[in-house]
Amino acid sequence: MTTKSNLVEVVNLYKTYSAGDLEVHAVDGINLSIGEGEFTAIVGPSGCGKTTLLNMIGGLDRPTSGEVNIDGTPLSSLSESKLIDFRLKKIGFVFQAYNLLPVLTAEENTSFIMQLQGKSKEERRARSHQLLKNVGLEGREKNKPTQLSGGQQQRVAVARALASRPSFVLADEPTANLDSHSTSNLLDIMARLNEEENITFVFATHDQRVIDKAKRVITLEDGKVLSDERR
Amino acid sequence: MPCVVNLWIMKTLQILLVIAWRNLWRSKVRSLVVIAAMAMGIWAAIFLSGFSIGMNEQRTNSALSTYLGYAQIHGEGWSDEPTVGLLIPNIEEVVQAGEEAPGYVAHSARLVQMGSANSSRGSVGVRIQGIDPAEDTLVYDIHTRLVEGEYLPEFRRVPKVFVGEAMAEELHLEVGSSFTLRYQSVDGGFMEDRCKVGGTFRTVSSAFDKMNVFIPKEYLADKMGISTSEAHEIVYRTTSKEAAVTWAEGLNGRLEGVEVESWKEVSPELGYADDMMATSLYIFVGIIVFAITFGILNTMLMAILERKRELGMLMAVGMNKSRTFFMVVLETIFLGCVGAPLGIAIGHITLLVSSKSGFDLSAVGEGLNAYGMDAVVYPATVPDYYIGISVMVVSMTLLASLYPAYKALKLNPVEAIRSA
Repeated sequence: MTTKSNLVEVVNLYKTYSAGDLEVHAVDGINLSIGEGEFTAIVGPSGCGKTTLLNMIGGLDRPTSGEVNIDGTPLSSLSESKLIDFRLKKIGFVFQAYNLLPVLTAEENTSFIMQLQGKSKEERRARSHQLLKNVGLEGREKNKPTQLSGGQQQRVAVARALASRPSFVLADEPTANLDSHSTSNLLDIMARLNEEENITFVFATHDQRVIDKAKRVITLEDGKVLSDERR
Repeated sequence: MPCVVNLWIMKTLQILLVIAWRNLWRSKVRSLVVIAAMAMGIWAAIFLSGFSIGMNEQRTNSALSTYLGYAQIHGEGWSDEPTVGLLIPNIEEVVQAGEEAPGYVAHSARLVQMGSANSSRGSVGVRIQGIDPAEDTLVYDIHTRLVEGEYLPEFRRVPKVFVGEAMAEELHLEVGSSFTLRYQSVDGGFMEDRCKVGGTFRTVSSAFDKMNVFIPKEYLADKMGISTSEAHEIVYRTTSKEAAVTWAEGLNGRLEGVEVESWKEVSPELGYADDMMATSLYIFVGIIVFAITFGILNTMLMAILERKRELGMLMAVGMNKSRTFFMVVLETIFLGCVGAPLGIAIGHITLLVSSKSGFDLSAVGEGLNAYGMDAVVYPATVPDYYIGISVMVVSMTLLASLYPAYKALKLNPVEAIRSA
């Protein structure tokens, strides 16, 4: 295995929610690093803090204390607007419910991120076609989400996440709404992209099929890292 | 800075336009209801504008062609105290100057007397107007309002006069009936003349019909003991209403001992009515558009609520706040941009058709006549208002977009993505 430089560094991270007098430590002092090209699953029971951790790694949520460094940039140093721009350039997201724009076609859903980045029409078109081909949706470019199955929609979401050439992709329960065939298909695609193009994937999941496919499994319990297993 | 803004807009505008436009049609029924409401509101505003302006135009034109004329010249002091002895000095010179001024079409020199008409059944105060029929028909159209009899027919000894139908009814007179006119002579004495009704007229103003009597000028001049070339007033027709104003301004100060006034000065309330109409119509349209904006606001708030998850996703993947704000604003403006032209088009077509066919309001004709208006109203097309209405609609929709756009900005991406 090649040595992987640290892409994500989580340093002494805490996230505490107040519910009246009660304080809930969703993330309770986590330290970890994720290297380039890793295929990592963050697992644990519901409420263990995996989605909260993922949101803070993705810059969607601010920690109560601690730091998240992406490619050497501490996210706490970024203003809200710079953080949005940072997400646009550095992080790809795949959500549980696909969250595609229903008014756009598969191609448009993939390319609009690049449009936000100011990429040329030719580049957008070429890359979105290539990405949709990579996720097995060649010929479905003009289909709108309602004309695609759940598995196909999630593959468009993966293509969209990769469109901006991010440093890594965060996927929060990406298979939760999929049947076993679609799950297997999606995981194969992501594993291939990881192998062939060295794309870094970080999952928050409790789906055993994802866990089986992961090369590294970080298990959380009560907001703390219970185990960190590399395969 | 402007370059940066332009670049940003160019890079993003296309996709934001696409998303905003398609979002508009996601809930077709809802959008169509709002667009229809907007179109109907604008249609109503335009139609009412055209109807009111048409009615006002008719009232003004009717006043000008029945009793006011486009411009008038009197002896100096007439407007303060119109006395019998106040004849226009140097009348040949005045007539000539009026004819030479740009915009002149025709004139009618008149003698005017205040007096009373008396029959065995009663008495009414009247304005006796001595006119030369050949001259007067070029300025006024009172001869076209004939109801019965003839317009100032030939007579031997007893003059045959032209009276309003309302006055004839008041005094129980018919064509051929005799009655007495009393008026002041130049030397201060009172004259009494027996006349016959030669014909009756009916204008759009029942008040005018009740108190105006037309009599041949030659006869009246003879009775008053003055030359037929003398006159109390010269009334003019000019090429247009607007030309009358410049015609009067051109003559004012050039002629001594006379007052030159355009219709706007003689009857300022008619001119004010035009201005008042314009202002009040804008206020009315503003109220309609203001009401419509609440419909738009409601629709957009619902749309934002329904699309929380999408907006959360857009913000999560890197759509910044200004773009999100702009997208919601665009979507709202699209609503206005579809509804406004539709309303304007329907309004314009309605006015075009009704300006030819007119609206017969005979059921309230008497009330309209009391205000000097015709019972058949011909609306006018009002293209000048379209730009103003469009600007108003776009401004209001822009305002209506601000709150939903602000609500969109305030969404927390994490919570919005999780929302059902």
